[in-house]
Amino acid sequence: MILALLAQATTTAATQPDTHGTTLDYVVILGYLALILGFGSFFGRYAKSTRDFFFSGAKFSWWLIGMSMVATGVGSHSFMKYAQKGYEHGMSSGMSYMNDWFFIPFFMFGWLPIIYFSRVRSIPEYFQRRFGTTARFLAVLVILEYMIGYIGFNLFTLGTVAHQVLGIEVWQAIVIISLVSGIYITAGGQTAVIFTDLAQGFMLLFAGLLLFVLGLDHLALDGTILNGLKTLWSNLTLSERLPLAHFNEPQSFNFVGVFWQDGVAGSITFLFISQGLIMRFLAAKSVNEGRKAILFNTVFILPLSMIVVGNAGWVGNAMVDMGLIDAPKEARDIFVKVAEAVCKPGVFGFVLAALSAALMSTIDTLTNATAALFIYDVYQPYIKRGASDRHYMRSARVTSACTALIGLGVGLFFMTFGKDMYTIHGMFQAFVSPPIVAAVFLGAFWRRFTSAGAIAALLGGMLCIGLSKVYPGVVKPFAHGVEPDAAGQYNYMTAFFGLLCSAVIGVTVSLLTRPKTDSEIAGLWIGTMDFGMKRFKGAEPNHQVGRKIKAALRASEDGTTPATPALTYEEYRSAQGPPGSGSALDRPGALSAAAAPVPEYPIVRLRLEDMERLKAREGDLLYVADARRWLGGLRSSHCRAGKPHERGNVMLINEEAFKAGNLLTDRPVRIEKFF
Amino acid sequence: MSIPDYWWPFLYQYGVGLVIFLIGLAMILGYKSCVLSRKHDRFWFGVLIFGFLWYIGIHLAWYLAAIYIMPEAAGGAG
Repeated sequence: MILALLAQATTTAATQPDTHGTTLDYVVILGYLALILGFGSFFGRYAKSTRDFFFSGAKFSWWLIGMSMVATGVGSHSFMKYAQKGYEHGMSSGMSYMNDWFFIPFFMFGWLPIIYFSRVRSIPEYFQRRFGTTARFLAVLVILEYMIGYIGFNLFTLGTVAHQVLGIEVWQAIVIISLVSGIYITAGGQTAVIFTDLAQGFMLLFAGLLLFVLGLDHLALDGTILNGLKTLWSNLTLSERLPLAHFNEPQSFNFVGVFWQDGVAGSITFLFISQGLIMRFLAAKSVNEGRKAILFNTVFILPLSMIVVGNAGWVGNAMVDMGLIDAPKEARDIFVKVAEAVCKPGVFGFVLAALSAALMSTIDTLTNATAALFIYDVYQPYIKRGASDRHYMRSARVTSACTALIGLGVGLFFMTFGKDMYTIHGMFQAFVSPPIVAAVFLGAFWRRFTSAGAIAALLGGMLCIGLSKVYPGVVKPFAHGVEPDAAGQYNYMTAFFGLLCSAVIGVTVSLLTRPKTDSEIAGLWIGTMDFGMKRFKGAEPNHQVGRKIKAALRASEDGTTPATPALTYEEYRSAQGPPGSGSALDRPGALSAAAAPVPEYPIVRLRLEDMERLKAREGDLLYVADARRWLGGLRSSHCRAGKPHERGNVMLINEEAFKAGNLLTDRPVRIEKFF
Repeated sequence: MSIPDYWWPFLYQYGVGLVIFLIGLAMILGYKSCVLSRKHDRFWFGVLIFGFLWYIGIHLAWYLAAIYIMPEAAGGAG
């Protein structure tokens, strides 16, 4: 199939483009691809179980998670798209990078603890536990299609860019990138994704900022960067200098449309239903580290990314005004035009390698997430139940390789059938994203939201969006004065309309149907976080804040705790005091699929004074990591505190836990208490 | 005196945004997902407030710079 598409793609590659770049540029790009391939594949040794392969053993530090989010969020098309907007509209090009904070409280104290403490492994699994099998089935269909289509879309975009920039054929770029990313993801799983994304995140930030500095240098009349900045600023009109676009015009780029489409619908989509992002947060060592990662990303990295992806457009605008370059035939070519004008041979190749980095770091996340979804939501429950983890691990690798190949096939398919295919894919997303976003959001924040409500929101929302395409006038009351496009569609506001319709339908049906009992949804909505935390730990949380300590390791005969039985909601409620105290949690019900078993944690033993410094009690959860912080948790393990010992400044740990955490005997460890 | 047109996006973003943000804060406090008597939660609650002020500060400073900082040979008002 892929070979057939490849043959068709090579024969349909019609035009011979202008070629750019020197031999040195090509050497830099190929060298970079080889380096990433080796670097990613190296992490295959750390993937020993499916939990490692998909969630890296849930042990990484915030900065690894945060940096890898940057690389995932910025795709190769971001550079082209935002440079174009910057060239056409000025500094408001990046306004969609700076409107995400409003939903952060819902994420930090709602969705993040819900998914982390309930140990869900995918969005459809959350649907299963919160709403039931039908909702899960719908979610699997929608999300799988979205992710595979998005891989193909990204590959096609990069192929097009490579064609414009380097003159190589679209299919050649698609094949090379698919193979490189496919190989290291199959070998290293999530750990490879996170570490390569760390490298690629730095690479693309550095390349974007380098381009800005070189551009300013080019604009400077006296050779200083500050003067270049003054020249850039003075070339912009007032509206081009402002960080937010005009309120409701032009139709193709206005503030209010971007606010509702990106700031509201896009933010919830990114934070709540992006499987790749969810897996990143589940790879964090704790909820607290996840909060640090989102804080770092939103407060620091997003404003920086806004400059990184848009500056070529701002500089290009000034360069055209000053006659330093000719105006591009099409605005979307401005990135390449500026990069070529300001970069020397080799540096141009570096900037193009950064474009590949931006793409690969998006593709690898999507590939790993798609494989996880298939294994956890299709293969395990429906094809091969109850097999060993070793079997699922092998299946995970095979699925990753297949996903990479399918992505390659979809990329070639998009290429063969032209622009119409990804337009159709984009339209499909406009149909399905708002309903699924509304269902997840209501499920997480409204106890009364029912399974019937969720299914109605999904199907009814899609129907309403479909109707809005046929009768666009229904969107007009929400359009804030934005005019429709030439086809009569209100593109930006359709997402808002879809969200609103899905929510209204979901709420109405929920009020008319019987909700699940509290015990069935315990830990799956915001009102039960205390229970979720307690069940995650398998004991009463200890909220005292202690200090981190360092200790040497010593093997001991102490074994691993037996699996702790899942805490039932009834046990939790009876421990909270007599029912009938007026709490919404007082309703009776049976234990259900909401419960997940607490995994076995190895016991480690510390000195009494160390336990006191940690403010830890016997049974508390500890995180033990190689003391070298720059490893970011690569060598680490979650453990449970055992009885204090009196054998000096060492931590006693059993052999099995020692190996599972990839710890080293000659290296001290850093220990911290969670709760 | 009427407010110039270019301020409306700023006022809209931080008006509607504030409503969404306050609903979020009310929910996490009301449902006791964030318990201010816990030191950690207090810290993160402060971070949430800081983040909102950080963004409003950046946008406000940028607006003021765009309106009032005009190097020689600057472009005209758009």
